[in-house]
Amino acid sequence: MTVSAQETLTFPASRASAGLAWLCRVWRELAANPLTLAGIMVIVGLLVMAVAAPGMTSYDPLAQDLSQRLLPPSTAHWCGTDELGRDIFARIVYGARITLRIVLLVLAVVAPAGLLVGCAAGYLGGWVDAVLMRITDIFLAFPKLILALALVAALGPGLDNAVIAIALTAWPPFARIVRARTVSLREAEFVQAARLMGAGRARIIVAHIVPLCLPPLVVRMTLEMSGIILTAAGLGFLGLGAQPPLPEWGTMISTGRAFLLDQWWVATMPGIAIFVVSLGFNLFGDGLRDVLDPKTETRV
Amino acid sequence: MRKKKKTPLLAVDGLHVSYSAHSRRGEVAAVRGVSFTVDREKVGIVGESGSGKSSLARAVLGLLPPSAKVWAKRLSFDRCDLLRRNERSMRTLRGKRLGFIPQDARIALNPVMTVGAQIAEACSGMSRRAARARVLEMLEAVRMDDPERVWGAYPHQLSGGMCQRAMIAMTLLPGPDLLIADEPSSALDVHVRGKILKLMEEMTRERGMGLLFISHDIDLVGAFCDRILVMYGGRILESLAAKDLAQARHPYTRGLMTCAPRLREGWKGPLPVLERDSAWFGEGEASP
Amino acid sequence: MMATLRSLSGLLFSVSLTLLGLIAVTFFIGRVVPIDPVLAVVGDRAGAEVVERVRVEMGLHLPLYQQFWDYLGHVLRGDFGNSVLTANPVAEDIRRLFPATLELATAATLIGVVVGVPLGVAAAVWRGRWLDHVIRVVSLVGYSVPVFWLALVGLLVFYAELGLVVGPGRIDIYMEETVPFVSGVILFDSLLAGDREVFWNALSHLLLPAAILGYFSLAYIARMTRGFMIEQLSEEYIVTARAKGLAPARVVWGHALGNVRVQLITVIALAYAGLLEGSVLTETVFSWPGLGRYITGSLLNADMNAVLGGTLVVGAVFVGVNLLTDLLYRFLDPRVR
Repeated sequence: MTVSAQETLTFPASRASAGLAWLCRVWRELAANPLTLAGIMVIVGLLVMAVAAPGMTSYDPLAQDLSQRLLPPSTAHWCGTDELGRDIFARIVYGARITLRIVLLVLAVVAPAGLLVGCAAGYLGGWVDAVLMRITDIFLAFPKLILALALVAALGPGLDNAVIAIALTAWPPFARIVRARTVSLREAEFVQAARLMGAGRARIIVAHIVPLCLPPLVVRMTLEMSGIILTAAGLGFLGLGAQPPLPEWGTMISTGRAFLLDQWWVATMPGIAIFVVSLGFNLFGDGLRDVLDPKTETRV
Repeated sequence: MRKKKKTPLLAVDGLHVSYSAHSRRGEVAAVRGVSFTVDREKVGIVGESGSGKSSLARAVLGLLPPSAKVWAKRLSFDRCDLLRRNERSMRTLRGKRLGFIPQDARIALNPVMTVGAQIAEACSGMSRRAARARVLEMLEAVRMDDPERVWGAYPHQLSGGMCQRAMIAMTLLPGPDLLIADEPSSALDVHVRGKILKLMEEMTRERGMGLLFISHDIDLVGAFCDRILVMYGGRILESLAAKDLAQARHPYTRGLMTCAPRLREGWKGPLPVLERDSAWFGEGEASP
Repeated sequence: MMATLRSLSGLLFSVSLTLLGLIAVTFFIGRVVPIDPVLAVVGDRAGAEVVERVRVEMGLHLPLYQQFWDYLGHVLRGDFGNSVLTANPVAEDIRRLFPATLELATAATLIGVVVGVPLGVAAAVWRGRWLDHVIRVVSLVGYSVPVFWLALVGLLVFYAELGLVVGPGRIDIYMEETVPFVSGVILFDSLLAGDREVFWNALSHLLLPAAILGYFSLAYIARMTRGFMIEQLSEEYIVTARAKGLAPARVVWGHALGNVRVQLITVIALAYAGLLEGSVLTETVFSWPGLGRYITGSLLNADMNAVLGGTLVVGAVFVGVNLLTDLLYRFLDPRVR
């Protein structure tokens, strides 16, 4: 490609600084897109809410006050109160902790599991691949929510069981992506070169293949986060997630349903919270994918 | 060499094409002030990859992506100003009067549509039966072995040479005045290449079409075309008649010719390598 | 011919294995239940001999692989056990209620396709302009909003506040059971019976639920269509089509869309399956008497037979839908043939 100006080539000083430079570039491109930036701000807001919850509201999310029940939104109670007189805004703020906990726990389990299964299946091939992929297909064949439902029904309702159930349904796509990447990398020339130099399988997988599987994995993780939040909310709505009196957003909607027609805020406010957080993750995931895997232009 | 008596078929004066890149590098100039004319003759544009020749071809037809910026002092086709035309009026010219043959016909054809149907699209306003007859006629004219089979075949079922022939049939069917061929034989095997070029030569001669032939192969262009334009870095460095190629004056042209692989009797020593002069980058040519 | 048969049989084998896996998973979930299933049946005040007798009756004293074999046999014969709550065979309950869910899912998918595909195409063609941004926002909202909450808000706004649609339920109570059960899909059955009043009543009840779920499938379909079309519109054959001087409508609908046909069908099938899943959450809100409400109801009553039976059925439908798209893929893409 002809360039109009002369370019001077500079090389990074070390592997660490190359990585840092790459991160800076990614960040700059992410920040250039206003929608992605909005998504990032929402995520940061969620983190702040979770961490600084006591600083954001003076009400106790569990404190009942039946004389204050079902009050509409006002300056005293920004989102109104629920049927037991608890401040809804406080419950939403503290509920952010629960949401965050679910998302982080699920991802902490699912990403390494998907990486492990995908790399093993992709690199080792043969019957290992066949068996692992068959198991993955079986889990993929189930509709996620219904499988999670059945699992929680069996294990008993509760936050931890909900996390287990969601994790068990969320790992297949990750394994698939990692496997696809591994298979395409397995025959790459630098892998063959490493093998010729005597690198063992474990070293090749850990040092060469895993780092290159991380970008698509990370993109997928951000895209799945909103799905995890929605599934968790769904389980909460069905009474299978965090149990009352914990302020889980899905559960709050379920209890608010009884008062929907006259006291709409009890069910509506938590839903707005779920929506905003989910939207934030989606915007961020979209922006991240655009940066790490851009598409070309069109013209008709 | 501007014909003073009548307007040339294609007149290009000071054409610039640049793309805005995603990264901070800003704009990339692909074509930097190119001027030439084409009449009912065979004009060849020779250059390496990145010299801007494909961008040039697509700019004339208005087929560049929206991020590309095109401007020129003059860009006209038979008195129609191509610069000022909007998309709708460009469509009346494309296909019918301005034809385009791309490099790789196999990927340039719609993979889920039969070849016959695609060629038939070039016939407008005919009944299905008439269109079919016309297409089969055209397929025979391009020396296709089994026109009936090709009519119902999909691109992946045909060889590269057959696809290219189908492409030529499709382009020639409406009877355009000017054909722009972007490396039409580069994706073909050597023995098929000769046949396709011979075909193109016959067609252009029979129909009196103008041909703008783009290639990276200077020997090919020298043998095939009437006039040659040598492009480098988005500019035309030299413009000469094909028969004068041996007496080319520009060092780049001479370099290209020396580097072209040939069977030489008793050749010893290393193969020649093109020595580039960065001064060529800043050169340009005024109107030929 | 032989190659097709071989690949088809390979496909069927693979599907059977997946179904087997499905059954195994539901079996294990059923056995993971911390509550002793025997006590669930006899109650916790029964004497020791009663408990032992019921345990033998239920086959729980047998080794695990034996139990699985029996379970497999039952399932393949369509016997999912009896519902603890209603004491009916679960299979019968499901057969009665499944058509309602199918009706809803089909209506919603129809909306999703009819509205979503053109929107996705428009967004791709006018990429970067305001229409694209609007469609992307609409899509994104559909992706991010919890379906049960949207259903509630929909009821609140369109039913309670604006009074534009009728209330929850599938049909007015006094019209229930008035039309002979042929397929279970009331719209269908009422047309067959020639009963227009019931038809319109059912349709008016279908409107809001189908619209809400339809918004979901349309968000997904529009987004995926947009992605596919963007990919196609940057291909070389599109340049050729434009170079031929074809009208943009022909380039987009005649050329580009033809190439995404196959991917679109996969997406639509996935959307359909996804709606079956979403029905679990929305049917309760709309009091829609379908499989979803059955499963959630059984859940709250710890009726594991019903829950697992329902899970299996939905899972099997999922697998069936995937198999169908696989077959359609082979049939429609000339390159695969």
